[in-house]
Amino acid sequence: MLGRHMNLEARGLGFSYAAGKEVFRDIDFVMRAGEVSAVSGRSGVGKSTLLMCLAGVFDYRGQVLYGDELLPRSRSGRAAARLAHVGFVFQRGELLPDLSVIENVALPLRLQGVEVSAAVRAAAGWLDRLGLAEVSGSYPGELSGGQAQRASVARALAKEPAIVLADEPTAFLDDESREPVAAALLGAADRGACVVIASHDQRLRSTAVNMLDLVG
Amino acid sequence: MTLFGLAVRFGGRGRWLSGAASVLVGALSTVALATVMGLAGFLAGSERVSDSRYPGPLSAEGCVLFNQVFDPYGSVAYERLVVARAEEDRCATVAPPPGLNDWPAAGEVWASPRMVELAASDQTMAARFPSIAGVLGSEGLLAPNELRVVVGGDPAVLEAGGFAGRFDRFGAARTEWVEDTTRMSKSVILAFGLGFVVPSTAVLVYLLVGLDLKARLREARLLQLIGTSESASRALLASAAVSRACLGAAAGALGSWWWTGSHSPTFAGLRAYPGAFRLSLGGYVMCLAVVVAAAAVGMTLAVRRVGAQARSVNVASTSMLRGVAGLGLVVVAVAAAAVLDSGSLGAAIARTLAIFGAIPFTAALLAAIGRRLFVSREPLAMVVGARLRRPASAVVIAGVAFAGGVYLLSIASTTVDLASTRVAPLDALSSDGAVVVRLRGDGDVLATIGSYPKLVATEVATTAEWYGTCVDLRRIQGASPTPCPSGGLYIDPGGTLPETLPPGVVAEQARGTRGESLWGSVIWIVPPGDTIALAPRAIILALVDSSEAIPLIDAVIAADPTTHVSIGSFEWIVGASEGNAGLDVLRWAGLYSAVAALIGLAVSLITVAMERHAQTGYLHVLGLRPDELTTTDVAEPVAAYFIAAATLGPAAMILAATLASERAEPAGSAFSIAAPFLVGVVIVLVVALAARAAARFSLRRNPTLDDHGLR
Repeated sequence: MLGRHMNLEARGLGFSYAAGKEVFRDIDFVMRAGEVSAVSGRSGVGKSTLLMCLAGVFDYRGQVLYGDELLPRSRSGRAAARLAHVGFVFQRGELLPDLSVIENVALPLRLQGVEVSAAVRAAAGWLDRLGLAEVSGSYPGELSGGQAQRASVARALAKEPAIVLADEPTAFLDDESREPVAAALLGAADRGACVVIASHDQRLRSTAVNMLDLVG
Repeated sequence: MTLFGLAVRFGGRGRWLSGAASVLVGALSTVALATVMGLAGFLAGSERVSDSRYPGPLSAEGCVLFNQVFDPYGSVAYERLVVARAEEDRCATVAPPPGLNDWPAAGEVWASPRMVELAASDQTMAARFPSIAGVLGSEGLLAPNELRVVVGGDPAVLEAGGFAGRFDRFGAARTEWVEDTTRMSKSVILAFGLGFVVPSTAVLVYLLVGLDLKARLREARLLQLIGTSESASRALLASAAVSRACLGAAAGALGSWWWTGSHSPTFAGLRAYPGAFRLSLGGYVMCLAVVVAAAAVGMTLAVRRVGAQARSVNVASTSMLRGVAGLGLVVVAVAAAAVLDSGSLGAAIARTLAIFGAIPFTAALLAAIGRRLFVSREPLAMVVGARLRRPASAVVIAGVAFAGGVYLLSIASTTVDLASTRVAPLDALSSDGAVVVRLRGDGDVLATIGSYPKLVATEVATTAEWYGTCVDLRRIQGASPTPCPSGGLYIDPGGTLPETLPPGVVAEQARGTRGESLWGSVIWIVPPGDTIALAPRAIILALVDSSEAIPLIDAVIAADPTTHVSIGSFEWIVGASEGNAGLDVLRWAGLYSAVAALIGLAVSLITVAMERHAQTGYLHVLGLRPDELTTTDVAEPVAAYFIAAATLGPAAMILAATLASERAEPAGSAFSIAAPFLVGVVIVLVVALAARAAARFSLRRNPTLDDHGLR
């Protein structure tokens, strides 16, 4: 499923809220395929915002490149690139309440046009890997915070994206649950994905090859 | 603490939208309630006027002589009351008709304001009433636009004529004005009006309370965490919802009071005098109290319902069993409405019940479609399917309610149209295009009407005896001119031959297409060429070409406004116009339902858009484009409305066809019924897009990632 390996590059990246408050500016970096990169910084410095810019969700200044391709300026173009190349892990899981857990995990594959049975099969495999097989038919409202976060990791990795952006993927996990999540993210990098983690988790950050420290 | 809590209630991002919507609904509900209550006041006032101005009971010794005439005018009929005070001394003090300060002189015409306008601007009225002595006062009129004329009569002529009634005084008789005019009792009208307004008020307020209830509940819990008691935090929660509705209700009451001071809506064809719909202070307070009470009930229900699950949309029941039961209810209700008398309360209830059946059916069908779409390989169809298979109950109910409002309006329009077409054109009344005009009045005036085939009653007290030639008789009957016996003919309706006939009279069955106009009459055959002498007060039956009938009536009324006129075989227009007036009830109900449901739909969509804002954001992060997100947001309400319209549209067509067959009229075209439902699809789409935009603007954020951060 994984497409061609691609680096994630930012050139002169900057972002300000509509009110004018600037979060960061003129950031340049290259995060390489097959490596785990970490973004660090104190709370509120803009780690999640940076990931949103890299995913093309927020309107940023500067340029973002997926491999050699410049991320388009239009929201539709960015959404299409995101669907094709990015897996996003949300801080609180953020599953869709109208879908069961396995449907949530299969969603990115189905959005790419994968047949239902194949998508569900792949989703079941990821849920099993992350210890969620027994809740695959449950709805998000029935999950604990940790289970929802693991499901979110499974959803991000199910389509085996070239770029994985993970926002505090272990924030609500105990030690036992943290291990499979960390292993899954490292495994994605091993398969050639460019994995970017924004986290306060020191142990997770220690797995990173590159470190980007945001300062306010 | 209370101030802090109130600040939390009213301040902050996104509150303006729910606040404005709460005020709007409070105002709308109060205006609707005040209008229904005002209608009751208007009807009561109309009944008082109707009672006060109508003659009766008849009395041979009465002091008032009168002759009541209903003249045809276009598609309506108006009253022309010829009155005179009896000449006896004891009658000197009897009061004049309501609306007049004194008794009108013989031949003097007093008219309503609208009639005065028409006499100046309309050819027919100008011809009939070239001279109007004055304007009738409001005490004698139901409304200034009522068409009514009071004409002074000569008491001696009225009495000698033998066709005037006598009664003691005006206002001594009770009338059934409401029932006669609207074909429904006042209590049925009020029950119908309140039955629409009060529940919809409660539902609208319930929807509004839900608009930001989940955020408010979280804040209530926060207040509890920092030390506020549960009851106090709940009280704050309730006060916020109720106070905003109360604010709107007060604005609505004030607006209603202001508007009704100078305006009044049209009901039963009457645009009442300004102030007729205005309530007393107590009435407005009561309306306000009902709205506030509805807000409190809605608040309580919403809190109970939302309670535990503060982050999900309430999903409609999608049980297939309920769906089938709902469809069954629609079918049974429509069948019952078709079978029952269309004007009965039972039929009205059955029509309304069909709307309730459409709700579970729509939800079940939406879910079934959603399940099919969800397994599609097309990504957008899959996401839309995911949403449709668990449709939001508020959206389903509001969508069906809007379709229901259109459905009621459609039935009302059909009924009104059919009632209107009951007034057949004059030239359709006979195969040869001629009609029989009956004229009763001054002999000299009637002698001038021209050389129409006619029969004349020379003794007005015995109008069952007529004089005329055999040829004229046959032409009036619409029969072939055949020889008649000399002497007289008794026109037998069939089997009702009187025991004795005048000497020389031969009985024969009624003949020809207009034979019934002479049933029971004795016709004295006059040799051709003989002149028939007219008495000072006489009656003439004249056969007139349909195009000449109204000008003839105009001319004789202008010559003598006390002349009694009518057109034989004509189904009285007054009946149809009263029927039309009665249907205002349906029109009001349908219009109010559609407007209230549309507001409910908008509120529901804003609520759901706000609640799903975060989910929409996640989908965007997962890769759905903005246009695809818009499609997913509007698919649900449009589909809900479409299914409801597809259910209720055919129901409206069936009922329209039934109503048409009752009156032997062709049913309206299918397109005329379907068009309002199709337009509804566009309206729902626009409302859905506007609600989505309003919700997003209110939340003032790009596709969100965190629901907690939004509120």
